[in-house]
Amino acid sequence: MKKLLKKLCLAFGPTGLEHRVESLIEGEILKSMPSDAEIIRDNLGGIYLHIKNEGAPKLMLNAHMDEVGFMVTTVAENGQIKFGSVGGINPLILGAKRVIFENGVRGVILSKPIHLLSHEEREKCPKISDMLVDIGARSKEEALSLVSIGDYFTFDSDFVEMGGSQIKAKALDDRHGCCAMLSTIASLAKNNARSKYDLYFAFTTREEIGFSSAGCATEIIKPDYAIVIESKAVLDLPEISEDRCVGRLGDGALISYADGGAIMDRALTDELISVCKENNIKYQINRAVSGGNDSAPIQIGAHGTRVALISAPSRYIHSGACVVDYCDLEEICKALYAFVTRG
Amino acid sequence: MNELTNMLSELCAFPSVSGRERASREGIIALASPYFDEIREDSFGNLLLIKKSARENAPKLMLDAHFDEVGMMVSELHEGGFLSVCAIGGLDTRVLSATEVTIYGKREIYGVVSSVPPHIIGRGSASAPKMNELYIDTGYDLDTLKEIVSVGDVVEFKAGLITLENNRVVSKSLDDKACVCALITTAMLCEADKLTFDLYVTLSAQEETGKNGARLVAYEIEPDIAIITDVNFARDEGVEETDSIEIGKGAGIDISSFTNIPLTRKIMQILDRAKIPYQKICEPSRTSTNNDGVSICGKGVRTALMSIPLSSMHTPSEVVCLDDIISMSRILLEIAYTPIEELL
Amino acid sequence: MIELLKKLMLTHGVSGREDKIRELIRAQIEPYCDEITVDPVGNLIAHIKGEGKKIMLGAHMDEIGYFATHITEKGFIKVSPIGGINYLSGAFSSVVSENGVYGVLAPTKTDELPKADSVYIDIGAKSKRQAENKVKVGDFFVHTPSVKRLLGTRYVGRPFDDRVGCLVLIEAIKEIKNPKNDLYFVFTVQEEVGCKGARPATYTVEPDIAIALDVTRTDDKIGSDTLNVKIGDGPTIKIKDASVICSHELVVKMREIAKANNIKYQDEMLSRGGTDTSSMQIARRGTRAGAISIPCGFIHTNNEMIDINDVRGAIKLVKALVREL
Repeated sequence: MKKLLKKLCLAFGPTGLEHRVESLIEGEILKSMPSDAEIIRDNLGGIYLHIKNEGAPKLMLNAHMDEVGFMVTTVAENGQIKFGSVGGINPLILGAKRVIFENGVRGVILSKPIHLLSHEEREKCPKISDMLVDIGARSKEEALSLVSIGDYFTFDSDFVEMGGSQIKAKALDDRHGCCAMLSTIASLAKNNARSKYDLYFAFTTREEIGFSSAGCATEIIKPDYAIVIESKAVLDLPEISEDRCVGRLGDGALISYADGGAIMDRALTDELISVCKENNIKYQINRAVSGGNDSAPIQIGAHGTRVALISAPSRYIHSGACVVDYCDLEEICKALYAFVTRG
Repeated sequence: MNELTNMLSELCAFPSVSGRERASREGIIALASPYFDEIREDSFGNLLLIKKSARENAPKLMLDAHFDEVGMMVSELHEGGFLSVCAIGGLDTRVLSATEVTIYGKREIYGVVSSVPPHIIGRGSASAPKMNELYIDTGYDLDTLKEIVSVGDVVEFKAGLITLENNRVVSKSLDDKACVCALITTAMLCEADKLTFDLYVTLSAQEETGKNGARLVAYEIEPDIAIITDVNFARDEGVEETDSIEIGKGAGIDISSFTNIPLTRKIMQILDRAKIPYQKICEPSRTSTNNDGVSICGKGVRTALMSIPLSSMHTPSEVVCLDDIISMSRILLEIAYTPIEELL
Repeated sequence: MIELLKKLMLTHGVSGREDKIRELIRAQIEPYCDEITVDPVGNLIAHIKGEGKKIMLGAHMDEIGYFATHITEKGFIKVSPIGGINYLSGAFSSVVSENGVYGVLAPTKTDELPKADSVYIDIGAKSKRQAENKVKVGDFFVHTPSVKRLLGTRYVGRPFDDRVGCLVLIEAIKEIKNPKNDLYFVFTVQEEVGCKGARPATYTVEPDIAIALDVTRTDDKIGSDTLNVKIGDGPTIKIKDASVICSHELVVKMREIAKANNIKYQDEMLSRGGTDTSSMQIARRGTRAGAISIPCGFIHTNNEMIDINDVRGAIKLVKALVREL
């Protein structure tokens, strides 16, 4: 699974251009797809696997394929590139970071040297609209021969295993969710297991910009229940008190009763928790009402959906160096598998 | 050009403050009906104009422009024939003082927005007025005014269309009547046997207040492709290159993560191949147009966004260039004649 | 009616945990409805059959409150706000959990306006363990409800927002017999956290006309930007608020019906705030949507204030509307 996670994280897929992630996922699905299952595609680049159990309640598992990134807005006369962010990115993390364009061109976000910064500038948070990317071009013309207005780029960041069981990569938000779903699909096939649900695995798009396609998936599938697998930013750093840390890496799957976007269905959430307890799956309860994700549009989509949220606690998300604990991801996979296959 | 100017002038004159677009229903139907096969309207105030392809079971191409405009709404009536109003849509109160308006009560009446002359406030010391410091002077006494005007009636700029040099025109409401004009022109010019799509032209309601009209009508249509048209900032002195397109240089194609990127790229390729000029504008995140809602309505819609450059947005004197309207029509015509397989 | 109002007010029902209030309402209206369902998010949808237009009336069951996120070593409960909390009113006031555990909302600093991250709930526990016996992470609190009569026909307490809207619908349901129109009464969830429940409810019902019953602010007169709605001057017919412009045709019709039935009403135009009306308007291909509001002072504080005559007016108006629309 770690290899798959690596492939998923390295795939280029900022919001709006998810097709490379989608075809990677399709390839994985095809490896372990039951013969009577069906692949569905939506208008916005989403791909769903439907493992049929006619007449049974519909359960949708959901993760989003897109990641945060950047878009070229204009090119200056000297060939340096102005850009905007796709999705919410803290400008503070951008100085001197390496980036890669969709066609493989590499660049670096310029940062004014400390020697030239005034005292006030050192204290201030920079603005993305003032930043430039250098791709080595010597003129506007040369730059425009390499990249176009509207081209995407993302963080240029390797997949690294660090410390005991932690992983650093870009796009762990929410490729870890995609990975957990793919692993569940593979386990179902491997064990020839059946689910009491009419099962949908919905890999959706556009989560990072807040106008997610998960609501469209809900309109198409009209599920009775949904479990969203999504990163949850945590702040388990030194000196941060327990009530502000949200959750802790390594303490297991993070289950939320509520977050900043939705109050989850209590019965479904309690059921997910009891499945964890019964199967000795390590879990923790989210300790903050912060952040929002696809659980919100899914809950109010179509006739309304009973929704639950399970997350890998994640550090430094929306940067090139997201960090998760691989063990937490394994617990999520176990929980999903146990949930969908329980009697 | 004269014909275009006349149509635009007629369109801009229609009363159409957000939420009250229906006031112009008959006028717009009379104007547009020669060019369409079917006209429908929904409960929200959207108007749907359909032109069928000669081909059977043609896919649906939705072309949207919003029909509403910014304005004001009466909130209180005062002694002396004055009205208090609140803004409908984004209004810069600095341009409101001493502006002429029409109040749509039981009948239309004329009014002037109050202002304080420099003799009283002293030169240069004026700060921007707040909406609640402005009054509309109607000239009536309160009792007569109450007969004509109720709370909730709308107030609109009174500013007809005039022409400037180089095919530029000035009017209220060019946001978004310039695009409405481009869409009707497209339907006027297109030949049914060349159309690869059925055209669903939507003149949507309440873009300026919530951007809900277009997504509701899109839910009804379930189009295969939707192209949203709206105005965008002209590159006037002091406006950043990143945020703007140049007036008179053709319509803009917007590239944004809120549009369908593969579709947008195909459209640009087709235009490049046909040597049809256009401008690019990149809005990495939210476009703040009808595009955003339409794209995720219902089961999801593939959208592209096009724009016409415009100066002095949301004022009684917006400026566009007729050449840009023609450019937009030409681009839309090219798309409407292209087989859908080449666009997806 | 006052007794029912008190019951509605004193029953727990915070956004996301509306079970108890829903059961109370269901029991009240069950004898009068043809069909009652609870949808996946918890909306209560009651149907009284008729032949004419499909009209939906809605009021939200939920109220603002707090969500327990953590229990400290000393036994204090850290909470996050659910909905728009007024901390000026909330600080040092009594709160109660969904399981009936009382506490005080205690700010950590007393010399400034408390904020969401500087308040804890003190339930009197001496230790984490003692607290954990009574409260779990994930439990919800509300401000302790109350109802008191003031001078004349005024009442003060909480949560009038929006139990008073629920009351109007329940009383109307009890008096409607063999309606001409096809009527749906929806008691929605999660209005206070973004008008959520009304969206799927409207999607399911697919009404021709939708009208929300809620409270409206009366202290919102910022010069002329909003009307001065007064407590006791009758229910309001909403023209617009920050989130919606009501269907003009519907507003005109509602005014005509109110006048024809001699029901005193006020015009409502708000520059702030929003209600379920906005969610009802944009479900599916759109709904003709409007709203009736009960003027309410000091909304979202511990002492919301209403005039019971406005409630009576609203009941009359609802009955007239379902008859004559």
